[in-house]
Amino acid sequence: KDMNETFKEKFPHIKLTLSKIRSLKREMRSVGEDCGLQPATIAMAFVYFEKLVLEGRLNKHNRKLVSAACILLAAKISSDLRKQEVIHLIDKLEERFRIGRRELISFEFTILVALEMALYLPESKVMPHYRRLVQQQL
Amino acid sequence: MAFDVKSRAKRYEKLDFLGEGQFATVYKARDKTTDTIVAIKKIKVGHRTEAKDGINRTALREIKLLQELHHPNIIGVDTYVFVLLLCFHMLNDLKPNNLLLDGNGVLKLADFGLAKAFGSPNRVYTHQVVTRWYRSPELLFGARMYGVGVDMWAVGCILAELLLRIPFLVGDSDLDQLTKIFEALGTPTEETWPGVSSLPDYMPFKIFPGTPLEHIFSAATDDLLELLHGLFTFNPSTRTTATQALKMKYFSNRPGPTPGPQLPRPNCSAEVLREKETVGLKRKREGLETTTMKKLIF
Repeated sequence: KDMNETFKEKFPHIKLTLSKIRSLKREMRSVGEDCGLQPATIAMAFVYFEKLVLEGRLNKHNRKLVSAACILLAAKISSDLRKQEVIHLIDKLEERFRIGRRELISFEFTILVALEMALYLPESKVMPHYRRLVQQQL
Repeated sequence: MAFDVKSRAKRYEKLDFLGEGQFATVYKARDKTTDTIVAIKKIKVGHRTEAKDGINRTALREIKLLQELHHPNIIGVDTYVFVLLLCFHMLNDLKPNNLLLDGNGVLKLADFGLAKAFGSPNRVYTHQVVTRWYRSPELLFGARMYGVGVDMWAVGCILAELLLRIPFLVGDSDLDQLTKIFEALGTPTEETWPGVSSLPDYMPFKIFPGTPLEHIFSAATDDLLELLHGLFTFNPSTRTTATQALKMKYFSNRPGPTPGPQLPRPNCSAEVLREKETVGLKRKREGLETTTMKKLIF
């Protein structure tokens, strides 16, 4: 697994392996798509997620909560979903990431603060993810 | 940047209670580092039971939109409307309560809770937007595909209110709102508004002839009446757009707008007193609000 080793050398402060990061993103995408989120919304969630990854804030214990909360925030900001569908998304996130609802809900706010409330993302940040999402099928 | 919430909170000194909406409370405060007056919007996290699906979506969207819009607006009494036309495009809840003037007379739009970014022309929107008095007839007839026209209608209502000093079309229900609109402006027909009868909640109304605008706004000049006329066009697709409005004579004719800093300031002693009374009440309620601020570090 020298891909992971190279990654670790380059980003020593990131406590997750590159494969783990990729698998979390795959899971985020898959839940998002199952719940009817648009590619642009999933791309936004990826940007939030990677920001926190790069800041070295993820670890073994919080990685699933962070992934789920990023999807939840992006879903709420975009107007893809109705209220009932947001509740459905929360159910799905609970199930797929095997996390507790209460923890997820309180983590949503934690993430919002960690992102310094910077929810707005310029197109240049979202586009690369968006393009990749649209081009490559799961 | 470390986020020390306490030191950030100390930066602002709360001066006054300004208003309360469904999702937030707004305070007047002073930024001690820059010595400027700011508006602080405190988002209600809500009671634990009602917060079961987390942070309110409307509040989140508002945070995002406020970051998206950086608008240094230059304003005078007349440009009040001018700036309004320039910068909103997507506001969806235009009403006087959401318009604030800062110390330099710069108009600030507040409450972006319901605003959506545009660029999704075929998306089906909710029609329960815009406070009723400022709601356009297509929204009241249940239109789901609407555009910037709803905001232009609201601009017309605000402009009318500035002229009359009281809200122009005051309906106490959606049905009554339509009646008030038609009484004042005449009942639209398929000729004046093609497609009106196919709107989801359409129903035929009594035919009112309407009152000429110059009789309602007897002090308005012709250029202003022309603008009002354009804004109060029933057919949303021919209603004056912001770009068209800005090219109209009203905005180039004399008198020009007063520069912002020279605008008269309201003498608000009576208001301040009244606001103080309400603050006490709100305080009690704040005790019930739960803050999820505890787990800041993860």
